[in-house]
Amino acid sequence: MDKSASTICESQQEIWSGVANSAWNLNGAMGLLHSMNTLRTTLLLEGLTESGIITNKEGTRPLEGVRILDIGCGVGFWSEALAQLGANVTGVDSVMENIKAAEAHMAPGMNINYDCTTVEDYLRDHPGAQFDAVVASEVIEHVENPELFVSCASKLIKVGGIFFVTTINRTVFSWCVAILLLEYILGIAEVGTHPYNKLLTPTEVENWFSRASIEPKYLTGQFYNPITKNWFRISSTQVFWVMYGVKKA
Amino acid sequence: MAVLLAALGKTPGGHQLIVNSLLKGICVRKALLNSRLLSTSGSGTDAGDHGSTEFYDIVIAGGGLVGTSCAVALGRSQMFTDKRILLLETSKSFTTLESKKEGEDEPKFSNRVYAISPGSKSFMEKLGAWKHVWRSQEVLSMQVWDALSDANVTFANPGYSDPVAVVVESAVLSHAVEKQLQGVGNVTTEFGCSLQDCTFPSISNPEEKATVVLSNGKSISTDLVIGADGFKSRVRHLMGSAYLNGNYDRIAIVATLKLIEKTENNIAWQRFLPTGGPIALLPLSSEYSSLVWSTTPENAKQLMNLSEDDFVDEVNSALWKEYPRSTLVQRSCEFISSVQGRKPRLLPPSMSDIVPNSRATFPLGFGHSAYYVNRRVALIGDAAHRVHPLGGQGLNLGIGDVACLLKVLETSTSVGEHLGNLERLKHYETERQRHNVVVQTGVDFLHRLYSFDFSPVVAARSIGLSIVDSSDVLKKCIVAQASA
Repeated sequence: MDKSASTICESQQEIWSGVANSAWNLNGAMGLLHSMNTLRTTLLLEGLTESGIITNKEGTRPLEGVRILDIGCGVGFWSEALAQLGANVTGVDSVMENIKAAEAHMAPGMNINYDCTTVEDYLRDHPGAQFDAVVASEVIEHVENPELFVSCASKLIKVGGIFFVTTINRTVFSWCVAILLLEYILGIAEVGTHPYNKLLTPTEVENWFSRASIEPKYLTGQFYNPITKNWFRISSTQVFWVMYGVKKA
Repeated sequence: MAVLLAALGKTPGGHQLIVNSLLKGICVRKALLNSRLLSTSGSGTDAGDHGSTEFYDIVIAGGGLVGTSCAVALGRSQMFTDKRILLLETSKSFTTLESKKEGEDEPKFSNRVYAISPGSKSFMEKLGAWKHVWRSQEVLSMQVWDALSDANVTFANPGYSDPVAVVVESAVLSHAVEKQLQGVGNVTTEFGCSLQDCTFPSISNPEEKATVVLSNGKSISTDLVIGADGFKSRVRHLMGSAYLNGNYDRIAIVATLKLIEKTENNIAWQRFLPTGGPIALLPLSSEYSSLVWSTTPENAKQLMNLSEDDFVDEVNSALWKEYPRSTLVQRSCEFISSVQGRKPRLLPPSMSDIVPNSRATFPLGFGHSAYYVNRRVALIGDAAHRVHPLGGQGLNLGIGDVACLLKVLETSTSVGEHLGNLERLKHYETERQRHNVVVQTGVDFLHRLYSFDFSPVVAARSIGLSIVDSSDVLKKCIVAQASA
């Protein structure tokens, strides 16, 4: 596959290979990402309930039998949580170190298939694969050609299924928080983790959603409270934001 | 100091209160050392490794009221229906008091009682245990007064509509909780058995299981150990948490007393005496009240050696006796009544008899565990905090712990986390320490304030108490904190 049709961003691969080894150590940026589980799982459960894929989001295994593709699964922070809730999870990541760390961490008997691949390669290798939900959390801002990323992901979603994205906006505020604060001042993320020009506004992603026949359903901002170590919903999407949409026929 | 501590407790200081972080600093080295030693000796133990190691999702050490409530709460939760819970109780059976059977006399009152706050009561209702509480007495107001001055304060809900507390005997509450425990299928209770040793995961392998060794030699691997094993907690010791404790050098005498005449008896009385602590009467029924008298060990010894009749006389004298006052105190009392207007004060009941052999003593202490949680372990109840009984808060804090831990673990499970995730458990620690430390230091402060008989202090506290009494806002805050 030629370069123009790939979503791999070479300059970013290196950063992630380095991070993978220490990733299940939940300090610093990885702890930040892991703590996002509570809110993003809640939002995903809401989305799945609203779209009728699940009937009850309460209980111990509300996602029983739901097929989920976690693109850019990293070391499996979210994949494991989703599998714990009963989902059949496929986790893909383009960084081999991540997949190895994810597999090593997975408890025996857990319902997750990890695969070191990209979304476009996965689509090529599994023609006809259809998921109830495709999730890409804090991923789309790291890929080359995000529009291709969205359109490939869309092809993997069944009609009525949902596409769930969390990422960072491209604004003055997000530059201050995600780059100045996290990378330069606190140093909990490596410098260059979030190149400013790769960050995406909700409008941009909404357009790609629509072109890939995904109807945007819900958009919210989220923010982190460093004292309670919780992510919470806010109306402002100026820094961190979450969106999901439903695949149309 | 106590005020400062209380104030700090209210700041949004994350899961580490400032006081705590100091304490924690001291014990970090020890904890690290412990965890390293443990990791070389016992790590890697998993359910599959040893044929003899049984797996339970949760092990609760201690089958007291807090431990059994916790077992009922977790066992009944929709989120833990597929989890197996092991409850360890040292004694051979629970100490319970059942209601009378056909043709029997009403069972005697047991001498250990609790003032259950509305918050704790509604949690007990949620557990379904409250319906088995067959004997209790509502307290509509609490009267607190100072033996060395006229100062007094009344705590009540507006219009005496809702009780500020419900007095329940320990054994009656145990009976209720135990009855509810019988209906919970996924809890196994191991009687005559305690937690001997426990290996927690090291910092480098935080997701390993914890391994518990029982006094009967059995080895259990588990996702979460809950320490509900009282103020001498073995679990707290094994998890290596620093523990700030102090002996008040005070003894509490409890007894069941009979009133001279039948009354509505819905007021709890507490009088601060210059002889080492408050004397308190909690209503049990229209005819009986339960006594909790905190005093110095010497005085306690004398009181325990008195004949039962003489003891009752002493109780009445403690409730009624006029102590000599200095001019300063007298003046400030006059000043208060000139500002407030003279208001009628309710008078405490007098006692006629004591229920034979109902006298008993227990020592009072303060205790605060720097950590409530660590990898795969959480402390609840007295294992985490010990408080002077003058506020009647000990069990209420423990029940609050259970309610909070239940909520935190349910959230954890609902988003697909593993039980015993430390980051999640820290939410429990933060929430509870913010509440508990405030209450503990507040109660500690009161104890200290009322230990003085130095006139300026007595005068100042009398004015302070009168201000509290005339300020509905302040009283509301105090009642809210104590009702949680």
